[in-house]
Amino acid sequence: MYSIKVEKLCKSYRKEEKGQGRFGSLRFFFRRKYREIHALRDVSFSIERGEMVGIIGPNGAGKTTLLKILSGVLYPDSGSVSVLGYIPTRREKEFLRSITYFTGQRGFLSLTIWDLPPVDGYELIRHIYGIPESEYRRRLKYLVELLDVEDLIRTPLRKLSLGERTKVELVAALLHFPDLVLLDEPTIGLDIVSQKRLWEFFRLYNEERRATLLITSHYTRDIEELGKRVLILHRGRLLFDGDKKGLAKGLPDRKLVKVVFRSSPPPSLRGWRIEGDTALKQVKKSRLSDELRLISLDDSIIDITIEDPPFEDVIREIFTRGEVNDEVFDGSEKRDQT
Amino acid sequence: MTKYLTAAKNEIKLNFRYRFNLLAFSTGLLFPLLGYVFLWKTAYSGGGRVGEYSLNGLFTYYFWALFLDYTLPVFAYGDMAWNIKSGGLTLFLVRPFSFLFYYVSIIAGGTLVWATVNLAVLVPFGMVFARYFIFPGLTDFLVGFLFTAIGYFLALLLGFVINLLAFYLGDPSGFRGLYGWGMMLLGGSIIPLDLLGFPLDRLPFRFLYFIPAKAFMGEIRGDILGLLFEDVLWASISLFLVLLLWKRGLRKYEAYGG
Repeated sequence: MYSIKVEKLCKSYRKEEKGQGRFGSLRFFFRRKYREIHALRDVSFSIERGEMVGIIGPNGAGKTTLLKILSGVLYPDSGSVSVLGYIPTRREKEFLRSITYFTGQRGFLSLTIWDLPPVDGYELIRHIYGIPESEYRRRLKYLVELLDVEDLIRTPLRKLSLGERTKVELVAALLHFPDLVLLDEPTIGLDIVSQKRLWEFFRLYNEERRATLLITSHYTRDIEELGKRVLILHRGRLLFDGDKKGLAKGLPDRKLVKVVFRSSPPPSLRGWRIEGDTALKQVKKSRLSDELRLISLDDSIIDITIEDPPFEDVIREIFTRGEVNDEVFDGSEKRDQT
Repeated sequence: MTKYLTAAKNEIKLNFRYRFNLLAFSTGLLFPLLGYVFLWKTAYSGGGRVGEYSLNGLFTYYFWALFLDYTLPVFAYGDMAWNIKSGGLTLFLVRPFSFLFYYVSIIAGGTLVWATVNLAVLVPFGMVFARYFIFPGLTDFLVGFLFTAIGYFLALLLGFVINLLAFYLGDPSGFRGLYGWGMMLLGGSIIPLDLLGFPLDRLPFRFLYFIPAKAFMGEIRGDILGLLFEDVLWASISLFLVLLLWKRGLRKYEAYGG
């Protein structure tokens, strides 16, 4: 049974464009210029009940727009959307009772009870969804234990750290036990330990409640954490829809190493791209420790960071490598789904 | 319904969260009133007169106008427009919870607290200056209360109209300022309208300050029912505008942010 069915979905919007500097601002004051942005182009896919699906793509890929259309907040320009058997934009009560939309950037509690403790917000949520008192207590206990926030729910929200706030906001988002959970960059800004804990929580919630979970992320590394199935969006097009194992074959086996020197990088560095006082190199994972050993001998290094390669490179790689070509489609014509 | 009552209760708790602010704002109410007392006392001491008003009449008018000014939801709740502009509205739209009713609830919750505290500050003040104050009779009080109640909804709805412009303008704060300050003049908060020298009978704003204050003073004679009808008519037109702007605005909503 389909939880979500999307066919040839398109959404575009106008974005204001302002020139740089004072003259740009002055010109913008008298004459507005707009640019048409195609946030989603001919996107089609379907998701079955109980699936946990990751949506990844760089910033501006259309991930958030897609979730907002699925939750009924935005109206599509064309195409059809069915979520749990409802047309989202009609925003019927039963539909709204069955879904949740959670973003790591801000939460319902922050908007409504900033100076009060989360329990006051949970009480409001209880009444919004008409959850009976005893059932509410049971659910609250379940979620509070799972997310380990017992000590936080009686502290004013504004006094909590970002990570703590994300967790208490998640309790608020899930108190009504939704069948469909739309999570928009839920781990943004969190430290690695908190991220891991949340991923574990999402998996557990998905298994225990048989809920459908859609999670967006713009980190390629999150592919490891996301469900079996992954959708890749890029510039509004659905580039990939399938098992993440298939995708992993197409991912670059490299890391981007950034080394910052006290002054300028030594001229002896070969094969590194130099940008001011920083040297950058994409290094194969198997060669990472050798490369770091070599470079760490230099005592003018003040910082080393190891990151995933830029998303654009990943997308390019997916296309240039042959392994995943049978699963890639350009959005207008869908191929086999795993 | 209980969800909106809970929202109102939370707003009451939020207002009591910073007790000093509550006390400080309400005490601040006394300063303009004291200023008016001294200004009009000076004006009348030389045998002067302002329009048809006696010194007591003017004091009483400003007493009620200031009370209404601090109680009616006029300037407040710019965060409604901010939520539309910044995308906070999204978190309401994904719940079976009306954004508009949410604001009605929290504004009502806030009003309950502020009206009570303002009265607690104003009543002792009025007693100290009792010799200047024209006490309303029971009928005048009831009629004044009725006009205040309808005026309250009118102010609420007009405020919503301005805030909902955020769907179309992005940031309506300029309009809100223009409306707020303009309404204080056109509504009779700064100067009683019958002293302005030009008629403002065709605008809804007089139902916010002038008419309720005059009703409390027992100075509305004649067609009270006609005025009530006009008041309700303006509130209905405002409600229609709110619903229209909301319905059309949702289609234009761009849901920025997260």
